[in-house]
Amino acid sequence: MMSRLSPFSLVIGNIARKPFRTFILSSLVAVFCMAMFAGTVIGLKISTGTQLAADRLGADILFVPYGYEKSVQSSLLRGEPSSFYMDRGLVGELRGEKGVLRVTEQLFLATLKASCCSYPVQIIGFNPKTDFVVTPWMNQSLNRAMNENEVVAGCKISGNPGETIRLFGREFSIAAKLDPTGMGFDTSVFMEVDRARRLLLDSELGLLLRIPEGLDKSTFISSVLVKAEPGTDVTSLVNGLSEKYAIRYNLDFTAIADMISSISSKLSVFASVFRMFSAAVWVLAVMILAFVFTIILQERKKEFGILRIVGASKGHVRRLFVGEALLTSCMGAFCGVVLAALALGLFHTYIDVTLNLPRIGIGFGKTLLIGAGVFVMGLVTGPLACLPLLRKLGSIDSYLIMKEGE
Amino acid sequence: MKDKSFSWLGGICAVLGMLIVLTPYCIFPVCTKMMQLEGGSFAPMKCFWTARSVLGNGSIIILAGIMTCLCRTYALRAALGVMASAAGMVVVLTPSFLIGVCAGETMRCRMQTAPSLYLLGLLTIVCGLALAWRSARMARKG
Amino acid sequence: MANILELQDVCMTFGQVKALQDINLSVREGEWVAIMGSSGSGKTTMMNIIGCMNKATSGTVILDGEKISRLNAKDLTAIRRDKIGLIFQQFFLISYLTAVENIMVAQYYHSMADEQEALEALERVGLGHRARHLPRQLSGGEQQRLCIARALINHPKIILADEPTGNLDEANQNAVMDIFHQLHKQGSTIIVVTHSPDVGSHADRIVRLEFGHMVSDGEKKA
Repeated sequence: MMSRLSPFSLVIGNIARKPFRTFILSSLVAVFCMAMFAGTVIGLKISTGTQLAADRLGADILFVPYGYEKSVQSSLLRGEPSSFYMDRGLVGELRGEKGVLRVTEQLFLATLKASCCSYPVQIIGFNPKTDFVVTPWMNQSLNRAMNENEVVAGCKISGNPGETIRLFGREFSIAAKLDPTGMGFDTSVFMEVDRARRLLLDSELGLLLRIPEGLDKSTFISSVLVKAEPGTDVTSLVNGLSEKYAIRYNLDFTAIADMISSISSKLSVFASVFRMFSAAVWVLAVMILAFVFTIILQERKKEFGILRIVGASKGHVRRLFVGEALLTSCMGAFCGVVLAALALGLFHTYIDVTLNLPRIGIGFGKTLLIGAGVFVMGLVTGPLACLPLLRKLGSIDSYLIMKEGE
Repeated sequence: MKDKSFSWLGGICAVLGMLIVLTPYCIFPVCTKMMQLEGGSFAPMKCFWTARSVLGNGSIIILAGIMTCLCRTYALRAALGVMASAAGMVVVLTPSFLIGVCAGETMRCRMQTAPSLYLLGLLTIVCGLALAWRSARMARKG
Repeated sequence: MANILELQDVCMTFGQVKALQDINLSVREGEWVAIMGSSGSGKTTMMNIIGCMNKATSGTVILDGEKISRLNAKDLTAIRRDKIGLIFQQFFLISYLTAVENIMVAQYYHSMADEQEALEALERVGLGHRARHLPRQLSGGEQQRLCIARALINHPKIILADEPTGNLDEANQNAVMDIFHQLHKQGSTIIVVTHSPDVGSHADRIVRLEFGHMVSDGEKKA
């Protein structure tokens, strides 16, 4: 069998000789790459998702029953179903306020989890005459009015247009499905608000959902969304409206922009911690690699001396050493990026649900770019770690070998 | 030295097979409850049958791994590698195409069990192919 | 025959220690010279200077018509690679390369690795059947024969051997000396550094060193 001898085969030979050591060193680089890749992707998801949410909600102020601010955030951003109710009277009063451009109401219903195979779905009742939040998205998929027994479903609801879905014991036809929004709309079902109200009141399960005493059962809603007039200072408007209505209607209120930015900064802290961890792992990896390479250099001083004796120049020997470091890093970087991409790709839903992340992808192109960048960072780790040793490597001379042999 | 690498590959294969068996029952369990059919009777769901299927495939992978460690013939090791790869492929295809899991995105079987099986199945395919390739190479060397 | 090697007033000093003093030596092409002396006589230092592994503190060294005494390390490496074949007592083989690969390494840094040529070199020293073995699978004598094959692969001007039979038993010593005799018959210039009278007795000429001085340089008495 033909032996192929080249600097590359020498590098491969050396690495293959010490499989355990190579595995450990590669693993260090792999761990760094995995942490860096995951942190960067998650950070990008957070910023993309929250920005998208802010753009798509379209409203400036949100009113919900007192104590339900977190519930509506979870529902709007992550599609975690919830039910809460308030009086509709606020809608009319807000329309007359200065600085208010548009007002609309929504009704949130959550179906119950009847068995382990069904899963709770968020039903959002909206007013087609006044809505400015859902309708823009809906018009892209359905350009006619829905009839009594039709719903529009988010992209992650099982079923295709024309198929039926069972809600509160009634069957509805899916008129259309929305494009992905990256928000709670993806796991929600939309119907006309009065229809949603009747559905709740007529069903047996509806009796289990506590509707507060004193609420008009023919008009109750869950939230009011307000669009401010252009040029209006939203914060002042929020303060003014809340002063007037918060106690009277027992409400929580929030400026959407503040809500998004608060969520974004909390999640961003998480992403930053991830990145700091990656940086720490990288520094540790470089230090450990440098330490191990120092030991390797000492171990192989004789071998490098022999190569010098048979005619290898200092440059040849240095390239051999750096080549081994590069190949070790390359294997670790490749495995790290691939494993991280696999884990994030396969378990993306689990990760999003566990970490409360926006359920949106960042696109194949961006993922590839991040992977390439992280790979390069991992690749240079080994050569960087052995840079300080190159001088020492160059001083290994065949004469030293002779001296040691005496 | 040569036999050590086969022991490693066989061991990894066996461990992967064990994980495949344990995943739908212990690590990320699938639903055990029955669903009601149109006629009123009850039947297990897709994820139940997926779990059963990968139990069988996982056992085959464990067997292939153990036999790789015990046998000494390169040709047989290569065949075991191909067998493990094929079983790994079936593990990947079972929750995705052959049987499936529950439809809901946030159902445990879809969110945890199925991705775990994809990952383990992929790793088994890689391990099996590595075993087959190495055995074939050693057989050629003689 | 022209001189292949000339040392003119060569001195080597390490700090306060004068390892070599005023060495004058000429070696003709095709000659077999033994450099002998006890431990500390300076014979290894002399070998390092001849073998372009170290530079003399003063004096002139001319190898194959070229003054090498003031060359830099990079040029000395090139001279060593192209003109000198080195054989050591400790063999200095690369442990993870097979016999033929050890020879191909020397070829690679000289010009180009040629497996066929390397195999032929192994045949010439009687190791053709051990080409795919690692050094640890070879006996001491076989390892030294491998070193000889490696030293010869690039057709050097001088073969420089440091105690080539130091680690070998009598049978292997004789086998190695036989190879040297064959090379000598073919016209190779051989310089052997040794403290063994048996090894020195094979050479045409014996140069003796004592405390860094050349005390005798004469043809071996028949």
